[in-house]
Amino acid sequence: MQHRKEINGINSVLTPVSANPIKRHGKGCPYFHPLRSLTDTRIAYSTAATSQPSVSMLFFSPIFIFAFLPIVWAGFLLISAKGSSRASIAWLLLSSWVFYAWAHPSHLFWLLGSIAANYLCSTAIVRSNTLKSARRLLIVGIVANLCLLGVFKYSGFTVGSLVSVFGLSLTPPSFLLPLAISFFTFQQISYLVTTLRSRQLIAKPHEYALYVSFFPQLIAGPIVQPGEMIPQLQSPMFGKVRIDDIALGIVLFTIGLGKKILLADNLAPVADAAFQQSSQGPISSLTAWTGLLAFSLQIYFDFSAYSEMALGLGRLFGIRLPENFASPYRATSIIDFWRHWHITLSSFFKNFLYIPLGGNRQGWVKTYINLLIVMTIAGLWHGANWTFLLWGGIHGILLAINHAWKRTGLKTPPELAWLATFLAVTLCWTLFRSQSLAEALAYFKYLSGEHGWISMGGESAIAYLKSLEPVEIWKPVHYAIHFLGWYPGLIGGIHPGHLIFSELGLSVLQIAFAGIIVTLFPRPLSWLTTPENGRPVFKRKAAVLVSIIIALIIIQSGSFQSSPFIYFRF
Amino acid sequence: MNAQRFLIYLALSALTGIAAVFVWFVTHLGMPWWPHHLNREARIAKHYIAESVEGPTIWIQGGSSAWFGFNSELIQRETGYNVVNLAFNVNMPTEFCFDEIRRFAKAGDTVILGLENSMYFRDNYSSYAADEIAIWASEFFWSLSIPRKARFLQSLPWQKVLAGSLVRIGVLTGDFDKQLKPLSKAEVIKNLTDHWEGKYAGEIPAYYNYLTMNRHGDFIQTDHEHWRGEHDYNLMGQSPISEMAKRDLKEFASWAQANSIAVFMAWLPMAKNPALDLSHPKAQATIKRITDFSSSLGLEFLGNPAEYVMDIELFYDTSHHTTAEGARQRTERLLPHLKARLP
Repeated sequence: MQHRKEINGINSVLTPVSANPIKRHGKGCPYFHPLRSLTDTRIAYSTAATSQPSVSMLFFSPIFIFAFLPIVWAGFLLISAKGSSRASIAWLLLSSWVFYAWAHPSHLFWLLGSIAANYLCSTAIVRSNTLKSARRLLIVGIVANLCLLGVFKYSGFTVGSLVSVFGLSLTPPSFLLPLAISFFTFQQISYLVTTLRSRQLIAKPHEYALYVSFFPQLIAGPIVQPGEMIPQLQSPMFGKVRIDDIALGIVLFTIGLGKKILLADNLAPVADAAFQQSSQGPISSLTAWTGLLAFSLQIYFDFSAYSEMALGLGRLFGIRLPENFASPYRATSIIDFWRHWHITLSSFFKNFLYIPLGGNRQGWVKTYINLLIVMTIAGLWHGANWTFLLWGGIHGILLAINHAWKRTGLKTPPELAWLATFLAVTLCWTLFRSQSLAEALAYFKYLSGEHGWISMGGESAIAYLKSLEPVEIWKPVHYAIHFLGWYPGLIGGIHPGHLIFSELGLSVLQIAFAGIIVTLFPRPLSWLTTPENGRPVFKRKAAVLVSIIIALIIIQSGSFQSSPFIYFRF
Repeated sequence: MNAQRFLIYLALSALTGIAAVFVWFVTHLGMPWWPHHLNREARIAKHYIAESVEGPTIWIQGGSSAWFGFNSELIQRETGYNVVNLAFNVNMPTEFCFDEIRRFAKAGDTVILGLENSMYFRDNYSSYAADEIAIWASEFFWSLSIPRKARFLQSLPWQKVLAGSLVRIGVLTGDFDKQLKPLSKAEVIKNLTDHWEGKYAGEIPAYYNYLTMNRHGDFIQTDHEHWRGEHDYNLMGQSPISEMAKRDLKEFASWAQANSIAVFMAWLPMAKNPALDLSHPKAQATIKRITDFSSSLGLEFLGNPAEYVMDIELFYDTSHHTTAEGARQRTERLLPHLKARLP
């Protein structure tokens, strides 16, 4: 009579819950579901912004990849081959508006209204007789744009702050923030300023409308200057997409997709869990640091992914969008960081705020004040919350310190400079990620180990590591290895499988993997292609990498739950 | 290489990658290993019972509320039909449950579908069921239509595929045989028949499994801590009948009609508890959705839900599992309706 005594024995050792069926089944649950997905417990990360990107057409959504993009691209190629560039622009314009209106058709009213008003303003600037009247029109245009942005994005925050500071009995207004309003407002301001500088009609109405609405850059940038895009729309080559561009577009889009789905979205639950826990009570320093590092890498890959996908999509339509993200975590100073993170936003603030304020031409004190003003406003641009304001302000202070340090002429070892920069940037993300200043302050305390370094209960590190258990979704792998007898045995009393497949172990592995990619891997295009006579020559590893990413995405497609791009909220 | 060659190379390598993923998935199919044995062995046992019956038979199918909640002995005594209980887990897809009946039922037989309410609203495969089926009933996966295959794969976490693949490697290294090898079909049947005849000397591996099953396939309740919670039996939701349930039940009803097999629906046994209120408009609406749907297919319910609301003391380890006495009382309430409809 054969039976599996060993199984029974292991059953009782490894799955003590089976000894208590009530626990195993849970409250009133006949639907025994022992391997519940980790993603079930994900916590949505939301900021004060009231836009609803979750229902937008996201670049990684099946409807975008398998329906919208192929239809729009095929239509574009067809129209470009048969028709005029005007027809191609009209097609892209229509597609972009469908893309924009997908979640909230009513928001299209604000986008179209803003485009129409700004174009009228730009023509008025061109037609004005004197520079003075043109300047006046520019000011009117900028103020109108900022008012629109202010009403939607900042009125609630402003009234709320007045209420809390002065105890006024006002009800903060609540608007559904039109998607991408921060981006299209800034892009149009840059158009108005460029128009004043040139005093020429830069674009025809349909060209201008596409310049603002082009779907790859509409929602989260890059913030394109008129000179970076409009000449491409006016070129006789527009619509004649080269095969080089198609190949590069596919490579960039797929790498971006991989960064989003395989890296950013796997780091998100680690960060979400830590910040969620910290908002409900104390957490250990280890948990806090794990969560913060995960968020630091999450936002890096999230934004990097979006930027590469946007560039790749632009290429598919033969349009070269400006680079927005260039390995910022390899920066060895804060100045360097801001030259590589959200490059087009940094350029916008530099050209349209920092330099008009005087830049660095009025002495070092004024320079530092200008930096502080610019970065505080840049912080506020990200969201109507004191956390963003402070985040920007601290970056302004860090930039001022960086400039002051440079003045001393002292040299810092590059490794130390890199570490200091990365730590400073990462610590600042605490403000960015927290829902309120109080939460951020508490999180800083947890990071400092105020409630324990490794564990909360005062138990030793070894005791804590011994207490770790594999997470549900990884239990099949853990058990398979265990029952096959492939674990080396206890190490210092700690089961290696329990450690590796615990939440902590998996988080650390993910952070380490992402960190290696950030610090050691070269930037995709320079690694995968080499320019030759102005055309890219592709390396074989580009195809291999893209194929691996596609395979991994297919593997993960069943169990992943993605979240919208973080920058969609701005 | 130039862009043109690159794109060709990319297409080929992407196809290779996709093929590799497919091969990886296929290698893990049909690789039974712990903790997948219990459902697999229960199914082997039920098939053995089903293959043993001759003559007009009543087939019971549903989730575990049907495995626990019928007294087949009583039905057999009262109706003269053989009775086989094929039910075992609510997570199993309706298509799978109906396939189990299609294997055995013949003209003149009767089917009682004691589906849990959630089964009418489910429009996807649970990851639990997808994993179980991939491991020990891979033929079901291959029998699915392409859209259903895609949906099935979507429900299967890749970590489970990885685990199955590791075990497959363990077969090659010989490590599988040490601890993971499941019982063969013959061993399951021998243990089962020995157990029925009081000759089985081994341990019962868990508190429900193939050895806690009588000769009809009903669950044999043992001493166990009883459930005392709250449950609304999915009556308070507003989900429509799912497309999956509609299609599967429609196909099954047509098949049954074409093969002269009578099909009756049974309400699940429900425990009196604060969360259950059959008079609530939402509950009424859900009951109406279910009855309208089954009526549209010509399938009649045996009684109404209120008849199957029972004292909570008659429930076993969960809100859906009755004790032996609960199963008897539920069956007694069902029998007049059934007998009135049997030829």
